[in-house]
Amino acid sequence: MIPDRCHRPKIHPPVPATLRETECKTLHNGIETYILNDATYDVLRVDFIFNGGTILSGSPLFSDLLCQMLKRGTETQSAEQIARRMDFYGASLEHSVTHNHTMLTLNTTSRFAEPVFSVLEDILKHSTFPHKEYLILRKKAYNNFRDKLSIAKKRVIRRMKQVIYGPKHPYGRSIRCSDFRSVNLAQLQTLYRQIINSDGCRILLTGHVTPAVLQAIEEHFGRNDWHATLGIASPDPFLPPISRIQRRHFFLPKDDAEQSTIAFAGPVIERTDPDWYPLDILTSILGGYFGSRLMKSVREQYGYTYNIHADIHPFYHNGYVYILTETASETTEPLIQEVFHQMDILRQQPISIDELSTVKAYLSGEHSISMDGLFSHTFYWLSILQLGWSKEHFYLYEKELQSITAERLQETAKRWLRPQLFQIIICGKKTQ
Amino acid sequence: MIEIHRHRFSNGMLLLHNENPHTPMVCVNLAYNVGAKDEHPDHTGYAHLMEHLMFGGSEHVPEFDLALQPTGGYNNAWTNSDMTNFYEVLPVVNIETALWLESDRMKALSLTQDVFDVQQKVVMEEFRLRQFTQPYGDMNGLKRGLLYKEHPYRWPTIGLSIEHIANASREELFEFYQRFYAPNNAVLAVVGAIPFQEIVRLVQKWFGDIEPKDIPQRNLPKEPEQTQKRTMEVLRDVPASVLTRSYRMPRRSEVDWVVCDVISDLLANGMSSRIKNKYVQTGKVRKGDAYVSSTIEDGNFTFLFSPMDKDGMPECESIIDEQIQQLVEEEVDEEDLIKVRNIQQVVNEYELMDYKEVASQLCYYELSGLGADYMNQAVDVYCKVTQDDIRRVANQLFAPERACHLYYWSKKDKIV
Repeated sequence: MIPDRCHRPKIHPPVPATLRETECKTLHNGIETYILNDATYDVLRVDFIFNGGTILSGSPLFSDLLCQMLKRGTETQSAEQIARRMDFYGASLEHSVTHNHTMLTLNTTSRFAEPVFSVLEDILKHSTFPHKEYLILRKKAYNNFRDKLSIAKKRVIRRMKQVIYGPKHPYGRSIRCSDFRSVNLAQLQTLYRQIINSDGCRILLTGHVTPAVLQAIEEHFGRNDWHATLGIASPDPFLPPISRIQRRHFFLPKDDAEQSTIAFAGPVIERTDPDWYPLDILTSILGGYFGSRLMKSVREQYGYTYNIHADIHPFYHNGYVYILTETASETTEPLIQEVFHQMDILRQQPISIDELSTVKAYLSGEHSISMDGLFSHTFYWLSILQLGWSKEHFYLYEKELQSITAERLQETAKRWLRPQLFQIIICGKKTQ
Repeated sequence: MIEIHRHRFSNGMLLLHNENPHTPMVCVNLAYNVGAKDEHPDHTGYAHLMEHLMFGGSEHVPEFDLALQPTGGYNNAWTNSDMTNFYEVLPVVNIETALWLESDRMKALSLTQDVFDVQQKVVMEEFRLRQFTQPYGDMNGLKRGLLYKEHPYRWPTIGLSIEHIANASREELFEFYQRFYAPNNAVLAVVGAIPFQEIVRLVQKWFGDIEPKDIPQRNLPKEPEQTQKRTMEVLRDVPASVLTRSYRMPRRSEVDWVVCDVISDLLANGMSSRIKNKYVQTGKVRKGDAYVSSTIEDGNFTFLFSPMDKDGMPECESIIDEQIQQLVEEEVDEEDLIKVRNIQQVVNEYELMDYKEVASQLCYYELSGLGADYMNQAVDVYCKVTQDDIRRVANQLFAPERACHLYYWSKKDKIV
């Protein structure tokens, strides 16, 4: 049988994704524990969300060192013993820090939950912050910091955040050289008492959450022996005003560079702004997926780049628009012109019905895919818990997407995609 | 354990399938048995360039991505030395679109001069990005050049030099396509909420009329046994010097490949592993690692160290020697072996949750000669590795004359 290749198969609307419900239990000491139970596999992920992130600590360095020091010794176990016990059960403990929260993520299996929880309990309640370990970690962190500064993309992003928010604003604050001189062990120990306690903590359990797992959670983390002793950290501390650096171009020299790494630092938009979702959709049209305007022109028409990406980088209260790419030194200028030309087109002409329907289908599918798989729901719930939103918030995007019009997008482009709102940061050869 | 079905169509195409009812999506993963190892030494980077060209439109599909996007799915592809892998993830109700697209470009790729010209430039930019812009970007290629003198693993997938890509022509690439892109040179894995009989019917519908081709017998040059230690030094603008010491190791389908992997786990998987615990966690070295390649043909076992300061390279060499000596002379603790098995079991459980990962692994195991069912056997194979296996393999693997030392000096550590 020869298939009809001339006509594409019928497209069916995908089943809209729904966010899985969590069950909430309160532990004896007041910790709210959210449960995404799924017994299909024996995996178990435990996320501890603590109030207090880099705004409280003062620097991403201090937060990072705090989390790493937790694993480096307790009253009864050395760093080596902790590592050995975690590894023995194939468990891993990762950390991540936002401006407002510190998160510890344990990946293990339901069958090994009890012994692994016992190690984790010891870490959370009885870390001793040994000085020798601190010196090692500080040196490693400094090396990592230097390594990252050798990566053009990292340098450009670091500069972009400084330019947009000002170097003193927490959102513009990266690790500085001076942080390594100012950090000290006593400060980390204070942060430990401020952040790692049951009063500013919530737990999200994902995976095979058996009654035995729940009982072990209660036994290890539900007791009244790790309350805050230095006050409860705020999940939403005061933010100073944004103080954008007013200059059009910024240049970061890299003498031997074959390519220019280019960032377009765009405007800041508040999360409560009615343009938030329209602008989110608009940046996707501009450069958020493979069929976007910039990919089609800069990559697929001119071959200037391997990749170009536009997006809103979201923070707790607001986000900023950016475009990021690399190109050969000699095509730097034409690429920049083309990016502004594409913004121009979006301001001047409404997008066609065909493109709009393709974008809607694609972004809707992307949204559904982002909720596909158990751990995808974990990520959504972590956001809900951190941002203090209701579950319904996650359907707003889909609603906005389905109702948005070409006119609304053009209006948004006229407001937000103006060249004067973008500053350009280039890392590359000096001769440019 | 997952249930794996297979069906060979009359044109030679192999279908692998696992029904996963836990997702409304499906992953369609099509792997062609062609990679950088099938290239001519003077025309490298073609398999990867070909991967880019496969998105440039086919007889009934002007633009691949544009045709997929309305389904609510996404797609991508990757190439390595052994294979070229394309995949689509989309709602299962729209699976026929993926099959239509993949079958159309397998049957009749357009490959116009315009598409070729643009993708040639894009790939050259990718070459610059990977090899020059990213720090340590050329290190893997240099290591390959030391390890392999005859075998095509000696060049990286992106190509031996940017000139090879710059000098390529549309005609050469079309010839490459004609030679390797055929149903009898492909493995299709479908994982998602679709029953086996249904997917057999749909694959037959879309791919059944594509004629098989005369695929040239792969006759790769055999890499001669290394009889002398090899050393190379380079100077680069990177933040820290790095030393790699590599040894050629068995091909993927041999049981001893797993023994090598267990050795690398003992040395460097987890913070309590020998290298991490003794040297990395204690701050004696900047970086310390040991890992195996997953190549199908003879792979490589690599130690990677970065010293704390500019005089630390000899110490890194001593650490590697000491670790090898320990493996060769001393019996591994039973508890350490249990730890490695536990790690493998947990990793396997997390992998099985991801239907995209399962689809790509099924193709990989099939093409590697292990067979797709290995997906269910892998953990058992790791559990069977004994203390004696480790000493035996370490003895063979780490013979001094088989070592390849690459000194990747940072300019700030070494003045020429």
